[in-house]
Amino acid sequence: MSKIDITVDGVKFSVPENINLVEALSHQGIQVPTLCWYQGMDECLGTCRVCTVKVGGRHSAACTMKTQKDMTIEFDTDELKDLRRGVIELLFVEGNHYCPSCEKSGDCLLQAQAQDMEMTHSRFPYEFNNYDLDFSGKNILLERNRCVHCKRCTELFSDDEGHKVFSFIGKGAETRVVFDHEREKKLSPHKAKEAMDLCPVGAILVKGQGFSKPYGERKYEKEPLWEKK
Amino acid sequence: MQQAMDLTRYKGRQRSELIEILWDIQKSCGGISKQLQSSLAEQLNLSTSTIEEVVTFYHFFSEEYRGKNQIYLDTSIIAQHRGMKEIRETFEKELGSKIGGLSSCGTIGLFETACIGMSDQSPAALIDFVPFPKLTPKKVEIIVKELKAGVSAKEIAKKFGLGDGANASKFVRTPVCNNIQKKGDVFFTKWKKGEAVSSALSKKPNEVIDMITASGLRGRGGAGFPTGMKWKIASELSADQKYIVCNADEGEPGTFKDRLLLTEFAGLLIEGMKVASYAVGADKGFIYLRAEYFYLRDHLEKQIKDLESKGLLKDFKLKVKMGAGAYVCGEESALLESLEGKRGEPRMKPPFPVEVGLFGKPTIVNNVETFVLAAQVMRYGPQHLNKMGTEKSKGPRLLSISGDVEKPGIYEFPWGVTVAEVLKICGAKNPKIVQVGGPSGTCISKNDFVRQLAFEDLPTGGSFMVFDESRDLFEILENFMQFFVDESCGNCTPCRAGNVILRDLLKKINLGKARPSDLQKMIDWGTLVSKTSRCGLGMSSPNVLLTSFKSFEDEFKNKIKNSDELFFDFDEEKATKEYREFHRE
Ligand SMILES: Cc1cc2nc3c(=O)[nH]c(=O)nc-3n(C[C@H](O)[C@H](O)[C@H](O)COP(=O)(O)O)c2cc1C
Ligand code: SF4
Ligand code: SF4
Ligand code: FES
Repeated sequence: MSKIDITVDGVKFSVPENINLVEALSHQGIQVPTLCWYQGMDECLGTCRVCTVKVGGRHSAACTMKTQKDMTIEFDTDELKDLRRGVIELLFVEGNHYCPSCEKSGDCLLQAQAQDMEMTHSRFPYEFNNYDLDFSGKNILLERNRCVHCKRCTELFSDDEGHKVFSFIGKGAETRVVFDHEREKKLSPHKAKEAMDLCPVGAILVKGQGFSKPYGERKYEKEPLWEKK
Repeated sequence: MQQAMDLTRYKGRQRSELIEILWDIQKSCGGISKQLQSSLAEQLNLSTSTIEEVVTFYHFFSEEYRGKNQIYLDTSIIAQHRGMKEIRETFEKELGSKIGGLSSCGTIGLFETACIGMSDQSPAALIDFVPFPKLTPKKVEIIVKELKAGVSAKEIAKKFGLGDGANASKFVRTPVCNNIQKKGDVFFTKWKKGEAVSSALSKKPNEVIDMITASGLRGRGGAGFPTGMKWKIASELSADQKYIVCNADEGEPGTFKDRLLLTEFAGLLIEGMKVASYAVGADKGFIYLRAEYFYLRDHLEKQIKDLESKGLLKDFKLKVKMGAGAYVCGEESALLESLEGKRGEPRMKPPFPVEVGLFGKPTIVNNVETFVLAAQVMRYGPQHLNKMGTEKSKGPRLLSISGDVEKPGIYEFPWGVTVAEVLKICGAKNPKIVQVGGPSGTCISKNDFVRQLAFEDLPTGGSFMVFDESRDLFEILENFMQFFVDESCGNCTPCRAGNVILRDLLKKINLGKARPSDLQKMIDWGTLVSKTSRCGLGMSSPNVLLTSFKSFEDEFKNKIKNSDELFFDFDEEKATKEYREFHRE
């Protein structure tokens, strides 16, 4: 793979050409916060906008960009940090996130990003929207209060036969995640766990397993995001 | 009650035909129930959720029964100003129902929908997709009576008479008026069938593109991308298939100029698409027509047939495909998703549609007006356009003018015309606010009437709404913000969650309950939404607030004048300072 030069906040880096920008920066020790994207993902979703940076002077979601020759990137500026935190804050007021009682607390990427960005409160008024829970699944409990509409489950998850299980209905602020009840019933325990782990927040839970890992031993508790920096 | 329907006829049909099929079902059954969805899923060998995703995305599809007759009232601000409230109340009274429900007799549904492209003959409604312009309470009474007696919407419309007679083609005998108020000499020349196509075919494809480039033509859908450049990129890509797509979604409130072009200039439009197909080497094309313009479909299809039979569309297969009610589907990549039979969620860019478009193939998406102008360039040469306009905006601009003016309708102006000149010609009395380019455009006051309509100053996709001194700025702004809340696709965080918050903040300001700091919040939060959103909808929705605040700062300040001064603003940064310091250690 040929290497090219890019500039990040005025510093030149030599990186492989045409690879995911977040990934490229991560190899250089620059951790762009992400929520819908994760390392190793082939295609990006570009839904959360938490990875907003400036590329060539334009605001762009870093995970949707590929490295190109002479790219100029702004990342660590006050304006951009504030925008990224603002997007996280929007998610906190749109949903209902009561971390202390959440099964995913400590394993939740939204919570981890918020902590990493030193978010103490949201600048926006809380909306206290009403979301229905779906308890009717055999394996899975859908806790829509926590869904950040990242589309990981709808785009990246399929059952053992390769069928889509999750989908979105409605549009705009009324968009809701749903699952196919027939297919959900047939999910193997292994697959159900995979869905729970894929969801960055505590919206997809495997029934009876929410607390199988005790608080204190969870991913971002043992290895907070800022320790990577 | 929702009708049953035998769905076996759809067995083996393609997924890309899903929206057409759903239209069939919605129209014959009055809704697409869960049960119908799952039997359709079986026929198409798709999962039920795939169908549900699409049904619940579009305004005109419904899971519940919407009646044998379906009435959609225009909620645009122009319609509100023209007495839509009284029209709605009359409908409700006559039907014995409320908006969103069925008549007491159970067969007529009453609903609302965003601008239906009729702001020059407001208040208007669509009944079974037949347009009813210039409604009055009296007319509403008659309509309901006839509907109840089983008379079809088409028949009722006939009784009210046709439009202004300029609906020249015998296929478009609709009650809609063309309202051509100012003809220029770029659009309004006499069409000689086949002239544009034969001119193109007598040249090499790259010469055709050079002519378009030389004319300075820029896209008329809003963004103003140079058309020649778009065509050139597509022509240079090698692919086994390329597509030409006409964006006839015309969803920006206050725009209706494509409605005119689709009736009076349909032939030229089709020729323009053929020219594009020849220039870039494409053999298939689609006209994506918004559902609100269903009444124009037959006309377009007949025009296509006619040109085909004259041998003018050789090697080019052109089809009309319907939308189903979603403003965001005017965004070109969302439009392509919709053409593929999916939810109209915008794609990530890059790659742009010209490289990876419909079914992954290079695709030209252009506005109706852009294709019509391309055809004119073929007939009259590049100077037909570039002789007029400004340095960066060549040629004419069709304006859809509505609101508080004497002569609402369609105007041809050269780019570069000032707002003041336009206002004078359309007969605006005491104009206070001009919304240039629709809700996603710019809100200006008197101070800016000297400015020019041009890509380099005040761009517009054709919408030009005028509001006089008697109008309440905040009523207008709330209507616009509600539009964006309703039309956000929900794909990305800032637009989905942010527009709701911006709308609520605006309401708070309008109610006089906001504090001084709220105005700064409005600016900051609007900027955040605009900078972080994924597509043009979220990027431009805050313009409503940002530009109106610039133009009418005093009105905003008046709104907060009486807010409780004893209220102090909680300084969150200060209050959490210690925590932060601790955290950093
Ligand atoms: C939310 C949104 C709605 C749009 N609606 C339309 C539309 O109704 N008609 C249109 O031609 N372009 C619309 N556009 C612009 C298209 O994305 C695209 O730029 C245009 O079709 C390209 O054609 P042009 O270069 O001929 O203008 C819209 C864009 C956005 C972001
Ligand atoms: S359920 Fe989880 S994975 Fe699915 S969209 Fe919501 S947050 Fe994302
Ligand atoms: S900005 Fe985001 S949510 Fe809004 S319409 Fe575009 S993609 Fe959808
Ligand atoms: S991580 Fe880039 S948009 Fe979500």
